[in-house]
Amino acid sequence: MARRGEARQGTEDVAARAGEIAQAVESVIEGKPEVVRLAITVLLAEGHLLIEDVPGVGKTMLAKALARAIDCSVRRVQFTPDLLPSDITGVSAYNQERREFEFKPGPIFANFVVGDEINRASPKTQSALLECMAERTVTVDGYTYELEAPFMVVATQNPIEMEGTYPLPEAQRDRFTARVSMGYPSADAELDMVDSHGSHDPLGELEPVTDAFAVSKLIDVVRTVHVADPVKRYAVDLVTATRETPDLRLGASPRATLHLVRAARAAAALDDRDYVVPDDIQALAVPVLAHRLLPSAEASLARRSPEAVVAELLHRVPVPDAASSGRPRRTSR
Amino acid sequence: MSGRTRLTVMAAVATVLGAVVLRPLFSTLDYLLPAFGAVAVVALVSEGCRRLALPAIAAPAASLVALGGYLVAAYAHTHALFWVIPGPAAQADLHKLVAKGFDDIAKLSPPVVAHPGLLLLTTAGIGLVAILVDFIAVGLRKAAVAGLPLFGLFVVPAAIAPHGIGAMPFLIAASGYLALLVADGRERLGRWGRPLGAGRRGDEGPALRAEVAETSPLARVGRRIAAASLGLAVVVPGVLPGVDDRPFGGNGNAAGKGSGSSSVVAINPITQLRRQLTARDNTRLLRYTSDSKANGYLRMTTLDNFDGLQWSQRELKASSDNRVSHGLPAPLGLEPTVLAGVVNVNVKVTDNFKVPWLPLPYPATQVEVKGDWRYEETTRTVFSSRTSTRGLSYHAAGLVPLVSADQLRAATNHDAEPLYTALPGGDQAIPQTILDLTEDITKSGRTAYDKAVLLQEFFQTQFKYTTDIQDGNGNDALERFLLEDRRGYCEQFASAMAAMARVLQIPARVDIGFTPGTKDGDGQVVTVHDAHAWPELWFDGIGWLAFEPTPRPDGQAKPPPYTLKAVTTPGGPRPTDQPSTAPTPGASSTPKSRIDDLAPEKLGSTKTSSSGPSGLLIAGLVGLVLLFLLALPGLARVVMRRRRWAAAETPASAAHAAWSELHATVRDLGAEWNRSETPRAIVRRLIGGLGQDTDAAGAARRIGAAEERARYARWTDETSGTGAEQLKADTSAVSAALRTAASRRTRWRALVLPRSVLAAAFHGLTGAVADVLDGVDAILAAAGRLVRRAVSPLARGESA
Repeated sequence: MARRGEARQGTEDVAARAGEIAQAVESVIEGKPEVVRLAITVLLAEGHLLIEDVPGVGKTMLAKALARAIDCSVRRVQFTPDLLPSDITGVSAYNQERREFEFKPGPIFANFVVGDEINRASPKTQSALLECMAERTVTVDGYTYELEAPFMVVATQNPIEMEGTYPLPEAQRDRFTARVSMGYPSADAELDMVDSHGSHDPLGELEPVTDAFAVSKLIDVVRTVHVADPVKRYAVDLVTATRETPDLRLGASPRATLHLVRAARAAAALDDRDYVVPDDIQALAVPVLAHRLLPSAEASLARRSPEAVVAELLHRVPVPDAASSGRPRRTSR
Repeated sequence: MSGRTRLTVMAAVATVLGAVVLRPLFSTLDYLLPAFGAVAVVALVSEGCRRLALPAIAAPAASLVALGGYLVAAYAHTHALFWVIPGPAAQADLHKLVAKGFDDIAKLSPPVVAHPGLLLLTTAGIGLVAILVDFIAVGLRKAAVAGLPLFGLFVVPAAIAPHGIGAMPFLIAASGYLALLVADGRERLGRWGRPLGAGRRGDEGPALRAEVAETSPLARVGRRIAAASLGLAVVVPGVLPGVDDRPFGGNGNAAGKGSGSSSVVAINPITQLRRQLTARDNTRLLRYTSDSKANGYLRMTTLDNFDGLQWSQRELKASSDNRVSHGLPAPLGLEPTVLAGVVNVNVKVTDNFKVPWLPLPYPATQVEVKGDWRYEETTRTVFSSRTSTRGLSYHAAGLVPLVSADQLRAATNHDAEPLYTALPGGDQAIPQTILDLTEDITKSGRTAYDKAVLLQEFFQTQFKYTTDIQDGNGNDALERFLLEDRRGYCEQFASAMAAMARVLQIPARVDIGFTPGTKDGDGQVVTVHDAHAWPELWFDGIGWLAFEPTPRPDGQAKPPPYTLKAVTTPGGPRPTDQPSTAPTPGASSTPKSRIDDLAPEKLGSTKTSSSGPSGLLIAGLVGLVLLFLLALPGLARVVMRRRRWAAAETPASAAHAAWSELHATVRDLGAEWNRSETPRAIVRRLIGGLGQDTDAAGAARRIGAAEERARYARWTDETSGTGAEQLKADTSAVSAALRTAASRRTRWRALVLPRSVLAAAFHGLTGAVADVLDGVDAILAAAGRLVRRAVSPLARGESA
């Protein structure tokens, strides 16, 4: 049982390190521990995070704080309508001295890419992010460049009703592991924030608590977290339910299942647990699934958001129990 | 195959399957083949008419003609032109057959042997139903309504067959109707178009696959709904008392002899007797007062012809001289020297009872009644061809021969009509087995009387009384009754004993009438349940004497005193003063005390002595059984708990055991247990309900954590984790805490009626039902495939 012991050791490590990161980030973003935790979960799940909310609630602050807490390369891209794809990926420029084309890497070549107001860019530019996010490679002029690990895109966007925004295409939304809303801070938290941010610059004072290499190690540990068959099936059941419910026009993709299970692994490791429980899946279902779903016309009219639909599905899909584990369920022909 | 052709086929199939319900009426399945032919002819002709695009009404008309031709070909082709066109001779043949068929219907009680006459009628009936079903389902496109003519098929056996239709024929017939509905549904669906989401599956040809994919989910739902409702239809009447007996409202007993009005009960001698005994409603037939405590039977008529098939009454004939108002002759065979008591009865018949025979004590010596009532000379049956017993009031006096066993032992049995010892020969001869049995039973008896008593004893001791048996006629039924079943009701006992007496050369006949009924104030009330049959045996010098072979448990049928051992001791009961030795009409002045002396005290006392303690015993037993039944769910709960823990060998199984035990406890207490909740969430909720009980909360958390680990953690064989003992203690602690938190009522309910057990039982039941339904689905689907495969060339031909 050496393997189990290692994994156990690993998850302890993950929990401890993640705790430190969370503490560091929370010194900047006050009163939002669950958002911070989700951000770290996505980081450990090798995913990308979409932060959506109205301006001024600390979206960019969160992204920056997370990046700062980890000692690694951070690039920030401010998306504007005139941003070009090459502004993200980089360009091949002709070097007069060497008489050859030379690749100038864009801001995407970093461990952390903070894409600010991503939905203000044109769809063309947005889609330039697609390949990078999914495949962790950049192809420019026929050459494919590997991105560094860890690699995480933290994008912020304003709600699509705001002026000057292009909605993110479904394909791109699907590439974000989770979407999180910051929400307004509570009155107390806001008061604290006024105090701290008024007198000094917490973000500037934030010291890194770990580095890219350590995070890569943590990610390796997360990959070893055990997912029992019933839990996998639960995830699949849940995703299948989003495809079958009449409230949704578009259900979640198989990629969503993968993301869900991966994020659940990370969440389990954050809890110092070397196996995933359905609770992890349940806790992550709304942030991981909701942004990929399109409500049906009826649900839209009834003002039922995809979040509400997913929450309702959580109440409907049975959790696999001991009796149903390892045995195929009775299905109708 | 096109939808319409499928409908036609299904309509025919439904009719053929519907014909299966007639099975209880026949002793063999022979009737099905001609019926099948008739249905096939109808289906072919109707389909042909529709293919020729004739008007809708042409199909049934042509089918009717074709059915006629088919019947002629099947039953009267010897004199028919080209086999099917009936000439006068063939018509005469048919007419004879039909008459014979109706005669059989009137005479025989089901199950009957399928004689040609009956077959002709049955085939014609089924053919007509086929025409109607085809016309309604295919011509008018109202498959559901086609159930009505099919239902007509149900009515016949339901009304006539003593045991109703039976579950199996009913299910078969119903499945036919179901198939028709499914075919209709598919046809409609086919016209609407293919529903979305129809998967592409199956490996048959593309056309077939499309058909399968098109409808099978819907059809399956339909089949399931229908199967479930059929199941209910079969089960519910069985559970509810009094539903199946009266299927069509009114008085279910109204039958035979065209006694149209629904409030009238017509009692035909023997075929109706059983219906009376098994009838659920206990209609009052008559009330009478008697001046004797020892109430005897009231006889209506006598069956004295035995043809091996059944007992029947002779033709009742009487001239106007035989009006009862002119007085009755001296009873046949009763010597004036034989002592006899007199019993006077005043009878008031209700409006519910309408028969042409007057229920009287036998032998009646005087009858005072309004109307033209006459007696038949040999049998003394008092009857009327003009009026009936309905609402009648009359007075009658009858004799009760006071005979001793010695007298009877001394009596010979030669003076009766030869008819009364006649036994059928040829095919209907009594089988050797019965002759041997009779010989065997009576070999220790020296005289005819002793043999008769031995016979009676044989029946009284070796047989069980039940009205719930297969009905039938003839020697098969007799043999079955005597040698195999040894259970039956009065008609069978009476017929069997009478037949065996005739084997012993003792003149015998079967009487039909009533037992004394139940006491009601100063009189007796006779209901349909008191209908009875008993044998009478002839003794020279005494005449006809009743015997009682029927061991009726309700005490309504008691062996007469002169047949009982206690009374047959020499001397016997002897009247002391002024016996009426000369039974004459109007002998009502004879003292009645004799008869009262004869009241069988012995019987009376045994009856009370046996009913007392055994009644208590039965009550006690019933109580115990009830207690056991009440305790059953609770006991099952305990057993389940034990079994759970017994299976807890590894930490994982111990965790599962603790968890399912916790689940069961929560269910028992009526708390929520949502299947979409994780163990963690459930424990959280439970702890919320436990309040301040931190020990229990900790225990619950341990159980939840153990279960979570057992379910979802990486599998290991290490024995870490919470031990079984700890979990057991935790479970007890949590259960106790949950119970304390619950109300007293909930606690009791959990103890007596644990929901977990009930749910498990229900789950098992529904699982079994689902399995059965799945089986039915598979069979129906396979049958559907077979049919499609068989008829697909036809369909291709049509579409081409």
